[in-house]
Amino acid sequence: MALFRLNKSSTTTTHLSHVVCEYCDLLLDDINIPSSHDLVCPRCKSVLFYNRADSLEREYALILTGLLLFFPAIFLPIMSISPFGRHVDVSMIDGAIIFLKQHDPIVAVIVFGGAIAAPFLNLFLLFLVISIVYLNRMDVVRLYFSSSTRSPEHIRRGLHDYGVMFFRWYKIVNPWLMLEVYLIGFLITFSNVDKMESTAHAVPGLGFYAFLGVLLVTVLSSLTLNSQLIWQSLDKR
Amino acid sequence: MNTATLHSQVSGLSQEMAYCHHCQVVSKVVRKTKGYGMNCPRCRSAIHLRKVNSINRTWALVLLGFLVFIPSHLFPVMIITQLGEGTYNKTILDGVIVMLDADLWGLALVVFVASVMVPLVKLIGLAWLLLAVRYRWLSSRFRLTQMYRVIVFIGRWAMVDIFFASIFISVLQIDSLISIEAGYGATFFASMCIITMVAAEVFDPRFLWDHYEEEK
Repeated sequence: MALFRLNKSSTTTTHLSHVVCEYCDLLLDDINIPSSHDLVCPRCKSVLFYNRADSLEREYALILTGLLLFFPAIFLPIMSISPFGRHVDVSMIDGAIIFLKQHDPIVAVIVFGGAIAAPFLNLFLLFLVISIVYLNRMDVVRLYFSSSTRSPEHIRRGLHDYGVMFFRWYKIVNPWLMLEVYLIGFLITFSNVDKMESTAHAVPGLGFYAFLGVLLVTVLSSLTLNSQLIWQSLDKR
Repeated sequence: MNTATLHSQVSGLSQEMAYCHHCQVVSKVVRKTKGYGMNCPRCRSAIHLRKVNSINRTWALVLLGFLVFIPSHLFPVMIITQLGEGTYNKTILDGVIVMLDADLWGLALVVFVASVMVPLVKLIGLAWLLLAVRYRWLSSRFRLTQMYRVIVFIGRWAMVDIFFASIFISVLQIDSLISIEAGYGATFFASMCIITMVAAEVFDPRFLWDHYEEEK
C-alpha cells in the first residue's frame, strides 16, 4: 500500500486535509506529502497529486509564450503548395472555414472547437487565473485601490470569485483539447499531398512552426500545472 | 464538519464524503429534502456522491455511438470530382485502401487505427464496463479502472481523420483540376467522436469500487 511515488523534480512539501480518489472513491485524510514525491492512490494506483517545483512561475512563463505564438499559429500558413507554378497557402483557420463554405456546420464547429477555440481558452483562462493569484498574492488591491470608492475588501472578494469561475471553466475546457491529434492529422495530410503529382511539393509554413510551439507549451503547461496549489492560493482570502 | 469521525482508506460513499470534480475539494454531502445534491463550498458547482444518472446516460450514449458508427463508415467522407474522370465517393476505408496502394503503409495504419479501432475499442470497452457494474463482474477492479483510464486517453485520437479531412480539403480547393467536398460521412464521424468522448466523461468509474469493502 504505497502512498507516495518518487518524483525528483519537486522540492516542496504539501499538506492536504482530505483527498478522495476520483477513480475509486478511496478517502484519505490528513496527508503530508514529502518533498520529491507524488501522492498515489494505494488502491487503484492513479496519481492524486503531482508535486511540481515552482509550478506557478513556470506555468505563467509557458502560458505567455503560448499566447504570443497562438495567433501566428492560426493565421499564418501551415502548408504552402505550388500547383502549376502558382503559390498557395493554407492556414489553420481555413481548415475550419472550408466546412462552413460547404454547408457542413457541425464539422466546422467541431474542428474550430477542438483545434482553435479550446486550446485558446485553455491558455487564456489559465492566464487569467494565475494573474488573479499573483494580484492577490502581491496585495495589489490594497496598495493601489485603497482610495477608491468601493472598499478594497469588496474588490478582493470579486477578484477571488472571478478566479474561481475562470478555473472552473478551465477544467471544463481541458478535456476537449485536440492539438496533438491535429498534429498527426497534419502529418498525414502532408505526406499525402506531397505524393500527389498535381500539387508539386508541399512545404510546411511559418504557421506550422508556431503551431508546434503552441503544442509544446500546452503539453508542458498541463504537466507543470498544480491545481491543488492554485485552489489553495485562491482560498486564502 | 467533524473530521475526527472520518476513516481513512475507506470509500467516500460509505461516509457520505464527496469529491468535487472541478476543484478537488472534499466535503460532507448534506442531503436536501428534494434530490440528493449540494453545491461545492469552494467553487459552487454541483457535488454528488456519484455522477447523476451515470449508468443510464452512458448506456444511451454508447448505443447512440454504435448507431452513428455504422453510417460514418457507409457514407462518403470526401466527394472527389476530377476533371474529365467523373466523381468518386470516398469513405474512410476507401481512403485507407488508396494509401495502401500508394505504399503509404504507416499512414494507412494510423488512419485505420484512429478511425476503426479507436471508436470500436471505446464503445465496446464502455459497454463492457457498464455490464461489469451491472452484473458485478468485478474480480479484477484494478484492470477495469486502468481500462477506463485508457478509454478516456484514446478518446480524442479518432479526431485525426476529421483534421486530416479539414486540411486536405482546404489544400486541394485551390487545384483547378480536382474539387473535393466533405460528405455526410464526415458529419457522422465527427459526431461519433464527440458522442463517445461525452460517454466516457459521463461514466463514473467509482461504481467499479462500490462493494469492495463488503467483499473483502
